Amino acid sequence: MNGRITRRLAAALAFVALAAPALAQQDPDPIAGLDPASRHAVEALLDSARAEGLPTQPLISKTQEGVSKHAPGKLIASVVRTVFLSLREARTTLGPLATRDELTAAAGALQAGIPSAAIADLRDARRGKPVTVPLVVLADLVTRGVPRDTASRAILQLWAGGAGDADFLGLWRGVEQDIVSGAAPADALLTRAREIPVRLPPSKIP
Amino acid sequence: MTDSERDPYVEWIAQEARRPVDLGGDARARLLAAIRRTPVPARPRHPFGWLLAPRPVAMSPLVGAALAAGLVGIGVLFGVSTNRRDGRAPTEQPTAVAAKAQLPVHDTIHEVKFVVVAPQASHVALVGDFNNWNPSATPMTRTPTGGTWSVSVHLDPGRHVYAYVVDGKQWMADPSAPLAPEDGFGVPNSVVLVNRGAAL
Repeated sequence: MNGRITRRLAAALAFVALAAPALAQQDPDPIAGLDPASRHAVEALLDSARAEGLPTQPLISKTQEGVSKHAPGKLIASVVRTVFLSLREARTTLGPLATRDELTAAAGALQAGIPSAAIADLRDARRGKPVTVPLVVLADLVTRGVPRDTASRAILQLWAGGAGDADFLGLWRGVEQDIVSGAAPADALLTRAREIPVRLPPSKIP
Repeated sequence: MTDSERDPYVEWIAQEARRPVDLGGDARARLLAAIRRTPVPARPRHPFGWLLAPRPVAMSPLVGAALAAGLVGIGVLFGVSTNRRDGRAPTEQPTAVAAKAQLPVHDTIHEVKFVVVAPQASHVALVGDFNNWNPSATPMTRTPTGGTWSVSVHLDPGRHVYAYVVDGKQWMADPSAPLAPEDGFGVPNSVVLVNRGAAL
């Protein structure tokens, strides 16, 4: 009797031991749907990101976005590489203490064409303050047609003047409304930027 | 107290008790036969009685190894089940402190409501980095009044990128949210910022 029970128990646990790897592999493959060559390229980028301490989630997400949009594998690998390079440049610009959100926001700004020097100016203007929201709004403004230099200067001036996240989100909403109403993007930004009060003394504004 | 001082009745009982009793030569055989005739008491029938009853267990090294491997397998499965499925490592927790202004934000449950107007659509889905860009993961619901579609999802604090898929084929950014730059797939996405605390 004892022997029979022990054998049954051992058989059940042995089954679990053998099935565990197969069951573990049923976890969805985060970059499924890529052809072998593109998959190899994306996996290499993921490995590089891990090795450099960069977040891998934006790369995985970009891959999934491309697969979901039925983009060709070659294009997906190319876009993921662009994101990887942007993240790397963002890390160099913002430094090792930058958060994941700051890095992805800075990467987005870089992809929008904002020069890394402008991002470094934002970081230096208020060291220790998260620059995620100013970077997100900056990338949006450029994407909507505001010239890069105009947008970079305006956002830097507001940021250095003590503007907060709510100010930037309000600015973005106002500019977006004005553009939809027919205003030129640069004019919309400059008009709305003047409405935001400066909170720092003029001597501290660059 | 000596024997002569005992009660005579007690003395008589003691003598009787000391006297050998003749059980006969087949007493042992009769006793064993009587035991064999006695029915074995039935064990209480409990569905898990065989599991709960204590018993010594002897096993070979092979069976012991199988048991150990099984326990390790259970541990592997448990570990797999507790990992995140979106590819985000535990150390990659988002840390941004912004929030999309018009979205409801709570301290502990970050439920964000997405709303889009698409009166001609027959199906609208929300896709983003929070659902692996899967168009079938988060379908939106048409409001009873007409062409507005909405869905509420729980998001981690931080920056999220998303879009809407109309009728399974048309991708569109959220007109009421900041844009993420277009980076090669043809259509820009939107950005939502979720705070840990108050809405901005």
